[in-house]
Amino acid sequence: MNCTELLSMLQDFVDNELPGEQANELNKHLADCPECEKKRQAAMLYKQVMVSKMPRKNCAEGIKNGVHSAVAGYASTEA
Amino acid sequence: MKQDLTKPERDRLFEAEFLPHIDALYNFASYLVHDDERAKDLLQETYLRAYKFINYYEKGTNAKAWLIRILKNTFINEYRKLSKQPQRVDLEETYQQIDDTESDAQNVDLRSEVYNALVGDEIMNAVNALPVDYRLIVLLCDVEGFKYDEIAQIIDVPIGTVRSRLHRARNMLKDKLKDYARKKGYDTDDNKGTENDK
Repeated sequence: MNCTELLSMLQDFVDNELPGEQANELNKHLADCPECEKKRQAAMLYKQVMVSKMPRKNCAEGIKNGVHSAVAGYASTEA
Repeated sequence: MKQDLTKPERDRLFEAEFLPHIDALYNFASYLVHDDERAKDLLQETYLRAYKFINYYEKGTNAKAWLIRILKNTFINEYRKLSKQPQRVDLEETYQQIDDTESDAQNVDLRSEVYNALVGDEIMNAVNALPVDYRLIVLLCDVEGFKYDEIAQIIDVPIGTVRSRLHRARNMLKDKLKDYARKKGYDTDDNKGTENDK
């Protein structure tokens, strides 16, 4: 595998979408190529940041109750 | 495939497979509309539709992806009404052309100092500034962790389009993040290498 081939598969690799055999080939190349390894680290860093830094909101009980009421209201008209 | 479920069966399925995802669905709705009241309405409409069409849901399959698909369709319909966007077919053709031409583009990479300089709200604002179809794909893959085949089903495009659109969306997002970091006085020169090189 050369650097161009690796770069064409890097996105699938960091997203865990690459089949095992190709992933092994890619890992072999990465072990010997600091430039490609640098690109892999940068791609992984982006993914880690997105998971760790994007704020997450939990649904308040009042909103959950509203969903329950709306669905129960619809279900009762259907029965 | 449609099943014939009794009301108690529908209620049990709804409780067991749909309601456990309510926090994730609300969070996803918040990302899409960035307004608490609209997120609440979108969530309620999604669950109401899910209940109405529960006979088409196959028990034990990917309920979260099924619900997100309903939420996405509800959002897109509303979004198009509000923004008076062109019809779906025009948008899809345009995006397909962009996706195809951009799929071989270079990766935009950022150094760890640049990411460290940014807080969550800035990253969220940068995501929100993406065109809606690109925002959707970043949220589905990078935040919610769906696989490419699941995303393809949720947004109704081939897997190849998921791949190319994701590539472009990430580059667009990283460019926006660079701008934020630059405005905060951080040097975003790519030639310095990543933190991990040091």
